[in-house]
Amino acid sequence: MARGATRRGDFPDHATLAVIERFSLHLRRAGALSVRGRPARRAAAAGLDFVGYADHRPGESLRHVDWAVWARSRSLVVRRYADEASGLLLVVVDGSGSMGVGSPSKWTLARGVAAALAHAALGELHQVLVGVLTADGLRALPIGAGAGFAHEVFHFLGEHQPAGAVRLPLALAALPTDGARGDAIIISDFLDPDGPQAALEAVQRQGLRVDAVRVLAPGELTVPEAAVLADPEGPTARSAPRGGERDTLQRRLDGLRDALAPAAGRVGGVGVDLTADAPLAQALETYLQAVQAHRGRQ
Amino acid sequence: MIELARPWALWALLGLLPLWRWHRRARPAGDHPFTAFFLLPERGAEGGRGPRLRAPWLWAARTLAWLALVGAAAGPRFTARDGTLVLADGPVELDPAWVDPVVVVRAGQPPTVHDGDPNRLAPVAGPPDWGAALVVGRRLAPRARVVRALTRRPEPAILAAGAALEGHDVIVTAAVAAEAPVIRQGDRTWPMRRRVGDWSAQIRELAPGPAEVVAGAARWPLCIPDASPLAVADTGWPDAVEAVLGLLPVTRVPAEAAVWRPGAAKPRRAGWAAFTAAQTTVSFPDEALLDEGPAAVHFAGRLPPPGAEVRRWTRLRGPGEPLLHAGDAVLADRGEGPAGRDLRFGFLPRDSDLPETAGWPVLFQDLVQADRVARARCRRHVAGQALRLQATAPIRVRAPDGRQQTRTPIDGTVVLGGLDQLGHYRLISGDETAWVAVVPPPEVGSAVADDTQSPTVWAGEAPDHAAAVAGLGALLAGLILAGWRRRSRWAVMAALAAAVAAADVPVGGRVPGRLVVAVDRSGSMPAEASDDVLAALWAGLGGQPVQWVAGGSRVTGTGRPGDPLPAPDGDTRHGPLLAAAEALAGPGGAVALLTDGRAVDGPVAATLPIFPLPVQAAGPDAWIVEAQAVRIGERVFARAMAAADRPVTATVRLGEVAVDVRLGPEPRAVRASLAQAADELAVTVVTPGDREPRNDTWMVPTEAGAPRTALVVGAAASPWVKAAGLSPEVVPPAGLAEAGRRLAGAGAVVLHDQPAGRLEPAVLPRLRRWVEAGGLLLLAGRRQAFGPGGWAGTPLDQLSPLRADPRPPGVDGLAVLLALDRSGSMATEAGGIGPAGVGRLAQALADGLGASDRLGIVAFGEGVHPLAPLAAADRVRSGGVPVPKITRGGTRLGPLMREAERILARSGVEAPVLVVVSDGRFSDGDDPATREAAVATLRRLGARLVVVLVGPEPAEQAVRSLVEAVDGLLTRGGADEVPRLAVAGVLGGGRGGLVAPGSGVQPGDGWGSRLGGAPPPVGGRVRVAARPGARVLARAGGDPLLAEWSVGQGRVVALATDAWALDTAQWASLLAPAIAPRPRVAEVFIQGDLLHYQGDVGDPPPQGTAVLRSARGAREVAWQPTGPGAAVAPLPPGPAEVIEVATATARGALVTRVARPGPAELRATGVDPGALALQAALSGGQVLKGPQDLAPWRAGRRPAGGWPGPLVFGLLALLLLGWDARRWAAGG
Repeated sequence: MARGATRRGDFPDHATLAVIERFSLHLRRAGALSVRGRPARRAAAAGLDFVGYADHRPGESLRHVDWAVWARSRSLVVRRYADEASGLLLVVVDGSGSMGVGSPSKWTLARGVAAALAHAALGELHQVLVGVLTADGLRALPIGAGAGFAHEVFHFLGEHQPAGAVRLPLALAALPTDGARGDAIIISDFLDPDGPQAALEAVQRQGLRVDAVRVLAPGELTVPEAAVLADPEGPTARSAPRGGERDTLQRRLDGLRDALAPAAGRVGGVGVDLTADAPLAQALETYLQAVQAHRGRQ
Repeated sequence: MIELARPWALWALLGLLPLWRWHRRARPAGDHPFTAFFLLPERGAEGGRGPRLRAPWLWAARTLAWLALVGAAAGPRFTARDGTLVLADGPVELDPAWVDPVVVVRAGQPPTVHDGDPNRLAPVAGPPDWGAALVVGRRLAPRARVVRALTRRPEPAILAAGAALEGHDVIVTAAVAAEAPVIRQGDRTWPMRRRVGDWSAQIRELAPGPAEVVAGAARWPLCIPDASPLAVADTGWPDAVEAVLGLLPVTRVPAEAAVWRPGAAKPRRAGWAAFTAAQTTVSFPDEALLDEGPAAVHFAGRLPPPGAEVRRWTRLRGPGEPLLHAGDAVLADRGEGPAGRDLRFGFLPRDSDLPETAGWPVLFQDLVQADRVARARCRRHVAGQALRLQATAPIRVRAPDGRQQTRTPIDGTVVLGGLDQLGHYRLISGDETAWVAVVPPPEVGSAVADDTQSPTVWAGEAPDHAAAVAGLGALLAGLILAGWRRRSRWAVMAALAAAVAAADVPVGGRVPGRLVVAVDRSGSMPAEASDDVLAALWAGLGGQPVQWVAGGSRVTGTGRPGDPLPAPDGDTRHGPLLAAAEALAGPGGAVALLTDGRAVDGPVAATLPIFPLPVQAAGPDAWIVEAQAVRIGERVFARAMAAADRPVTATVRLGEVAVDVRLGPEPRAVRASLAQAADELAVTVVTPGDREPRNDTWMVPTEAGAPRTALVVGAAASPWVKAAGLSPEVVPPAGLAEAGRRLAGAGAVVLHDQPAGRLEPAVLPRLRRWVEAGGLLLLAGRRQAFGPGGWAGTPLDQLSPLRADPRPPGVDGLAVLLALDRSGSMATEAGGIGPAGVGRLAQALADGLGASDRLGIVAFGEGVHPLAPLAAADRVRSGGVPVPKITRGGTRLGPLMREAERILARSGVEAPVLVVVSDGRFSDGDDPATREAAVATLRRLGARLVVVLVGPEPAEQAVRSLVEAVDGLLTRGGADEVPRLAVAGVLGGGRGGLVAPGSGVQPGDGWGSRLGGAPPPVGGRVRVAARPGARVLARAGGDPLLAEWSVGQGRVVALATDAWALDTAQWASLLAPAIAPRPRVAEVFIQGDLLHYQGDVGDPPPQGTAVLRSARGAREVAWQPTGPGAAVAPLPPGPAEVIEVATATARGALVTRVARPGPAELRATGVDPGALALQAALSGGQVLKGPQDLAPWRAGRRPAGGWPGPLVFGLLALLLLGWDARRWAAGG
């Protein structure tokens, strides 16, 4: 078991569930979950986003002409669709080995935040897609809706234990949204060779608005004094850097620390920093304040 | 001798000291988790936990790696003598270290010697041909040191750009790395707009022809298509073509001024007809040629099957690009020739139902778009490939760097090589000018680029062949000197004279070129057969000094007879091989080409005559050309095309189904229906003695997912949907309103024998939207559907291709008088229809009647009270009906009949209808006089009587006698059923009611393609009428029985019966649209070794990477944009398999599966005689049947001027003999 990990299957305990439910309500009342986008294709088949037809205008591309209607009625019409309908929220949690670091582990807080956000979105009747990034790629539940789905989300998050290495941009490159658009919240430590920018842009390219929640252990971005450093995502270890190399490393860690907010800003989202040893309630409060502040700036 | 380019780099050896220190500093235990471990320098990260960090072998490995790095940085190189041969792919700076004389060869296609400043060398836009460049250079500087000067170009500012038509505009997109690009045409520029990952502009003012995207100093050539409407002849088209032309971007002009004009088919030729008149002839066959029977129609491209058939048609033969197929045969195609472009149809539109499908306008839209693009006389071309042109006059070619060349056509065709500079090439022939926009091939992965760019035989900077040749020469000299000591000089002189005579070298004058044998050693070539043919060739040449050059996609070796040939490998590309062979042969030479002719770049431009010598393998080879599988319910329908290099009998296996078929070079189609659960299907061709197993199998993804459900309202229809492979979920009529989420997941909805009144009003608009969004709705039934079901005029009726009102359009309108009993027994409490029911009844009648019908309403009791005068039904519909008061007291028939006569007689209608809704308790109903008067009245009017009895205990007896006397209709039902019964009674009056008995069934247009087989007889049906635009698939007794039409993206099928025993396959075919895969936002497909993405041209192409997953694992590949909405990515090598492609697009994530065939080189094998003949004809050579055919060429190859060598050396020998005889005579 990775460091600081909780036992599987006992998530959420009563206290955590109470916090989730309380803050779910809080988040919804505060309007911090303005999930947008259009539903997945299977929902589109219900006709919820099909607006209807419009007459083809001379000069307009024939690409969107409904030829089947023409073959039937000899009238030239163009299909129109609405972009906005009910929303879809993607909550993706980094489940790599580095999330097992800390006591309590970063994973403990990350999945709590994920559960609370998913719970709140389901309460708002949005569709929710919850996924965990693992060494084998994204492991995700099918898109779901309704209050009953929250229990599937809890069970899903409770089953996972952080392990292995994850390349965030690669793992996020093709989210199983089935063509849907909406909002995405990525919860990770964003300690990735490509930095947070590449990961968030990979999500944005799929037509999703993306927010970033970074969970770090206390002092994690400070070069430790230990003689040998081990990779929590693999079996490798090496001696700790000294002198100038140590200073260089610390500067790069500082750079990583400062990179999240600009990266999130560049994709139009908000970057929130949480500390792993913070209580879940406090972390959610921090998230709420950050989102509201972001809205205020917009 | 070894020199170091950077000797100062050896100081880096001191780095071993800190390396040793770091190595020793590693401690055996006590680690700390560090989550930013990836930030640590790579060189310290190897090893594992504990003692291994200080292991001696680790130190040794580190030391060796460091030494290797230092060595590489120092740049060791070997020096040689006699000048420098520089092979370059772009401008190079002269290096002072290069020994004079310096010969610069540009490694283009073909390679050329550069005489001027090497700094002005035009960059090679395509893959450099290093092998042929080396051969060219070696002829000029055989002993020079070879330097391959790779141009160190900066990252390209423009990665790709392209233009496409978007309505009346042109949309231009560009992937630009640096500053904001603009579009430039002549003196005008247009800015581009940034999108996610690329730049775009939509412009109407761009003129057709060349333009370019400019970003800083970088340029990218574009071909702007002609966005103006296409001029089409205004007469002479079949009706179906005329109809579709009316909505496409065309202008109608007299035929002599038109681009598109009907006419007879014109002669064709292969290649781009760039200089012919902008004219397209569209031809349809004569009736007499239509000699083929019914067949299903398929598109040749990636469009889905249109679901249509052709009844009479003829096969098209000759060159052309297929557009439509009927089975294996070409049904429509297009081509180019000296008279312009040409569209041929092998059928008359009236002999097919294709014009009734969406495929017809889509086909013509594509054809018109293609011609709008072609009018620009500008073509995008990938650098390094040859371009085949049709021309009748010499073509002047001006390259982007200003150099010009003129090419003369051979037999009306020119193959242009050397198109390897980024930019526009201008082609002028006669009075016409055309343009070629040459762009580099997509740089798709460094592994592929490395493999093709390095010549393996002469790799690197200094393979010292000169030394080897010198050493060999020294060895030979030693042997000769040794021989001199042992033998007389006579023997040596005689050997030299014989060698020179055999070489047929003239003395003085010009030396003719040599014969060089180019040996195709690509992966598809049979090595043993090649060796046999080559041995025969050597024997036939009789020891002449001949060289060979061999290779597949690049030159991999040269040699002389007897030298070992390289092993077959790689793709077939004749360009590099022939360029090297021509360089070796020299002017006046010739090239014998041992090949199967299946080159990806053939035919290629050649300056020497090429004599192809086909190599036929000993054993046959059969292969799968293409395969598709579509899941429809539980069954998988598979189609495969197979071919063989010679006539053979083969077995094609599609999953567990095996089909024996006779194969040949023309592909044959094989189809099967399988009960297969897996989502992949193995398609294999098996033939005895097959020599190449790698092209025998395709793994095909079965399109569509798991079996889908169908919501069934009316359980009797469940067996139908089960037979079609759908999972039925029976719901009550009211449940349909609550089935929102289930509706979303359903593939079909079936309404079977459901009266309209049972459906919630809110359901029907929702159902319509669901159909428009892609659903399939089956409406069926007999006694409670269509007319009997009260559908007439309801939204359900509007949705159906079969109208509930069976009257044909245009008949005289009806005059209907609705008489409502207002007695107390009609109250709701008494079981009557009540005031609310009156409204519903009037509304139903008004809805069910047509625009020419009239409706009046009266209420009757003791007297008669008009509620609505006889007026157009829609006025009643819009105006509403006053609700009659329920009164106490009796009901009298007599006053009603008198008032009915008064109202209906004034209508002037021949056959009015009186609808009486009553409990039948007339106070004067038993009076014979009243009854006879009523009968007389109705007969006088010619009116039909419809009586709907309501209430718990209606009095039927008296009414029945009246109804029977006038041959009317008597029905009864509950309050909810009254509207339906009344409407059915009115509509069913014409021919004995709405329900008809069983009869035989006649197939309609499209039956063969949509259902197939013989239509079974129907056990009973309801009479309906087809709506205009509906496609009637079957008829019974002259009435439509089965029809369909499209609604939005979906389809509605109407079946006017519940007693029809279609078989399983027919149900599956009928409901197939419910299960067939839906079109995607973009198309992903494999072509050659590239993965192609084509989305909407208005969307940005995909950015970043795609993840490819197969049974062998996952792999990430990078997209490179190629034009509007398009991108390519390299396909890693691998076997035939199914690959799942996951990528992000502008419209969300896309996950799809594609079939990757076996190696591209092996997708078709065996000799391609047409390609060989073409290559020979274009170069002035001829195809050889065997090595002996070279004899005429050899006989005609004489020295130009000078004295024949044998004669000169014969005379020399006589002189020597005389001189030696004199010495002997003198006693010396």
